Amino acid sequence: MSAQPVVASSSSNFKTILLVIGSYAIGGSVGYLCVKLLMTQFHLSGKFLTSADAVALWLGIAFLGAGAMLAFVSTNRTLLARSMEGEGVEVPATDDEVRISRLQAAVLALAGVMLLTPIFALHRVSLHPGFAVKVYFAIVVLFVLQTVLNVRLWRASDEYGRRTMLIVAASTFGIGQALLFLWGVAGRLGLTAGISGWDAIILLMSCYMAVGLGSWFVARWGLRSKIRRGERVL
Amino acid sequence: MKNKLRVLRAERAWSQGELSVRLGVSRQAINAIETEKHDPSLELAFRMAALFQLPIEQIFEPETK
Repeated sequence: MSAQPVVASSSSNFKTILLVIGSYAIGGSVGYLCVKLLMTQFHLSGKFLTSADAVALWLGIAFLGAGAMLAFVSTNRTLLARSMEGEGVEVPATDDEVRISRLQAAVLALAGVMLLTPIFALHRVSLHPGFAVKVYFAIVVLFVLQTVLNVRLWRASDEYGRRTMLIVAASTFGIGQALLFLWGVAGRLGLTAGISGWDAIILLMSCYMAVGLGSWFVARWGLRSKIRRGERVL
Repeated sequence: MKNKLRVLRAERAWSQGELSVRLGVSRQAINAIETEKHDPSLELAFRMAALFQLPIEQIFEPETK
């Protein structure tokens, strides 16, 4: 048997990298327009909205949109199979694949709702401070629900799915920690404004979105590197 | 780790989806192994060996420099 398995070449690496960069550019532009539209429609500008709030709006829309899209795709087993498979699809998505996709959709949508809710509650909270406690309680309930779904997703995934989750989590931690460190030090030295808990979580969620989206493209179209194969590169 | 999974699958005219069902893993896992993005666990490698009725070393081969 002389045939060699097909592996991602440098040209397909280039294609994957282009796809990732293109998706960031398109997602960023569409998100920016959506945020501008929402700010106008819901009078979110002015004293109620910080830069972190604007990014939270963008992230919330992106998470909610991704969740809705995945939920829609999961209603058609052939379409779902095509989104996962690297070649011609003959087998429609199985029950397990549909279940995992719906769990992912619910986790993404809940993340979007939890990021958007505080922003849309800001105006009312400014008029009725007691409303903040009710909003906070509702978000805690959603967070507990999302945590349960995340655990179910982990348990339902196979070794490759779990490995992908671990890589996304580790990459998000590494990049987020570096950015938070640099921002924190600059703030402590008085070079920038201080960082709030909300700023920090929005920064981490931005990293998570960027890494998660990149990992989906890499999982779907491949990226061949010595580092990924566990080889020493020095 | 190089592997002959794609060839073995093609010889049996199985799609990635079919093989994933037979091995009890996702089709993304099959795709990732075939494209050498993921080295399977020992447990999965043994399941593959049993399915194709081949020794593991006839399916997987370490990459040599």
